[in-house]
Amino acid sequence: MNKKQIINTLKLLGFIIVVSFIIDKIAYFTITKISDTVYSGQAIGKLNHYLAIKDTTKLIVFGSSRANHHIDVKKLNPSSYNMGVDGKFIAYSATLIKLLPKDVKQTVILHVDPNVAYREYYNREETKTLMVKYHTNAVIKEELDRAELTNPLQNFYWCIDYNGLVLGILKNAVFPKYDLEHYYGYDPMEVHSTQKEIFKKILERNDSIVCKTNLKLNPLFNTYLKEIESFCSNNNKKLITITTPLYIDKCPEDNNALRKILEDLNIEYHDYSNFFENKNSTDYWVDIAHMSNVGAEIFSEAIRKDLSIND
Amino acid sequence: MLFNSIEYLIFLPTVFILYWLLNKDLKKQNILLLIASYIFYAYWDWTFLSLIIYSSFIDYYIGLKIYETNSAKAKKNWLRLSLFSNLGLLAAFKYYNFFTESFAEMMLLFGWQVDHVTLNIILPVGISFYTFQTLSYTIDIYRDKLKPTKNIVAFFTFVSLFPQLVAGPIERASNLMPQIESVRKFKQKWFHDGIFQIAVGLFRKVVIADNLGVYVDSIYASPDVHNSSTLLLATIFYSYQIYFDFAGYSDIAIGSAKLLGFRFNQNFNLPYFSNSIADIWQRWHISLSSWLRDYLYYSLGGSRGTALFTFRNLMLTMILGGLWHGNTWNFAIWGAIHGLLLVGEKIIFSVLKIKNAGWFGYIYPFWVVLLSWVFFRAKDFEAAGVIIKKLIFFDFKIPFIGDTNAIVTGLSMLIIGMSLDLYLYRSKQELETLGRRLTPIKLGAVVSVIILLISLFYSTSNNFIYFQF
Repeated sequence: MNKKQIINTLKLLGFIIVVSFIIDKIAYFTITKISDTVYSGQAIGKLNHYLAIKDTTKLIVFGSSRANHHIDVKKLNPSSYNMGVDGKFIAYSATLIKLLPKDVKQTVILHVDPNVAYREYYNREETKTLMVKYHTNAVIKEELDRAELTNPLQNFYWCIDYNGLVLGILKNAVFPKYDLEHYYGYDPMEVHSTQKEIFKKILERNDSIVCKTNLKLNPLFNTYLKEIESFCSNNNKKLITITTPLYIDKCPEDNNALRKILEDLNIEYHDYSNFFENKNSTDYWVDIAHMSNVGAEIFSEAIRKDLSIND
Repeated sequence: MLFNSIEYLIFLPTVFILYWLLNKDLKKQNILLLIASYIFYAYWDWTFLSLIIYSSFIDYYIGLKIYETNSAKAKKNWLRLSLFSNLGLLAAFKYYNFFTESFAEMMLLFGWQVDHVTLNIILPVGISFYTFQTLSYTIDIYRDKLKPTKNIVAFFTFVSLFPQLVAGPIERASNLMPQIESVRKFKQKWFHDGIFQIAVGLFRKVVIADNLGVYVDSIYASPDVHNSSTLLLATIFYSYQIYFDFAGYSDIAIGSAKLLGFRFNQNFNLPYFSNSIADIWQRWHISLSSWLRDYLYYSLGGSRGTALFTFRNLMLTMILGGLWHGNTWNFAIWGAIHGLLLVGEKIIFSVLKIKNAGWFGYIYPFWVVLLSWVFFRAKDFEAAGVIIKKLIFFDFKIPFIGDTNAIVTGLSMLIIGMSLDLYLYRSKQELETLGRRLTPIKLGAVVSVIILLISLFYSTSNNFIYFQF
């Protein structure tokens, strides 16, 4: 390798680094500008919507798809929002709860899933979708750094914040799906024929269920649970935990164990896993863990009476 | 170490700098490459390095012995020892459980219950690749096509050279050994080619293949619950996933080698633009298909006999080629399907006295190969049966989409990937030499855009598919 080759090689590599950095920043700020106007879609839109209403809403539901599709929050309180999102668990919820205003009286309903609580491997990977706010929100940045989920190149290539989300952002910017005036985060699911067929086949399969015997609370779940409890009790929030129905729950042991832990932490807990029991119907379900709009409406009506948090 | 890891992003430039700092001393350069290659492998599991060293040592020694011996019988015996050692390694680590289970199942057909022991054996990464590579060395010496090397460092480097160690391309000694044993000069053109091909390879792998894989994995996990159109869509996606996964891997391997001054042979040449099944096999995983042709098909007699004899050899080669990929009957069936397709195509072309099927030749290979991918991807024979049955008795229902974002991302990136392939096909250019055709400014700009696309659309998945072979 002669001197000229070294210079040419360094020039090319330097050029790539500089140009890719500049292109990255142009793309990042353009996408951020578009993204901030998006209020549709689960990944970004809902997060933006949440950030817009979190300070003025009295009741907010957090959790996974089961929170999102099962709880019609308007039945619980007129000033409410359902921040349940598909595939999001306690780490995601904890991060969002920590964004709530400190001195405003609010009710936090957190959906807890014993299946996640007692999962051997839970790496809070779902919080990755909060990456879109990595360079713009200090609390989110701190949580993501703590979770060690960031890409080492992310501080150089900021567009990694939007990894996997750009097309969704563009689509939702061009074709906004929700009526923001009336949308409050609850997404009831209508069952179409293909889904119904799949669900029937799953039921026919009659898969055997093995209940967990070693019920050891996942340490990360435990940490976040305590953090949520601490944040809520110190910041004027009423915390209620809830487990929404399953088509059938043959393993009540984990729910009972979780109940004990929540009681020890003085956290209110309502377990509705077997809510339908003998009154069950496949019309209430999309799959074994998710209720249809029909099931969700029945359930929401029932918890409205049960939870008594209408004020 | 995976090519799409941060570790490799640090490893490759480090090796590159040290390597060219030593460019006045070939011996030191080769020692550096050997150490780097062993570190590369040990990053996965250092204990299995012993197998590479064992395989290298055996073939280094046997290569010399075959060459030194004048007796044809002794030469043959040394070759047998090489075959026994290398294939023995494969048999022990890759096929032991397959053999014992298949034997027990066969006995059960005759009503005999045979107790068999299956072992919890870890498949050493890259074993199928480096055993074939060392085998080609001794066979070429036996066939008087190659002289053995006395330079042990050079030979060990040939076996373990990190860009091709764990998933090929299966480089022949006739191509690689002379490059290892002679002074390499840094070539700016090759550097441009290498940078470009690595960038394209990463895009193909982490953007196209991995995004398509999200949908494929979700559907193939439970084929029994999905309808025909869903399974067809997943199988089409898989056919592109596996292509871009392995072609992407090969691109990174070939590009990395070029940065170090090595020219590897092309491993993929736009296989989905083939106009016959035979053409596919000249464009898909070329280093393996040419290996199977030269060392298995020709050894069986090739086409030097009756048509029936040729067909037998073709079938055997393809079935064994299928089993090379994995130790289940699904892979054997996949190979057998390809054997039958090749035989059928030969017969039809011969009866119709044509060399190819014209425009139809650009359509049917993809679709028949598509069906064979079902056996390649399905988790077992039963699952493959369910999928094939649903694809044959098509129900014309709306496909299940699942995660819309993942499917749209996968499709959009697939269009970009196939557009590049189409450009290469129409312009009759090779990806391997495209980098040099771009000015440094254009190259820098194109690579920067690829980096942006990777940042925005990469998908995190576990492995390169071919690592499991």
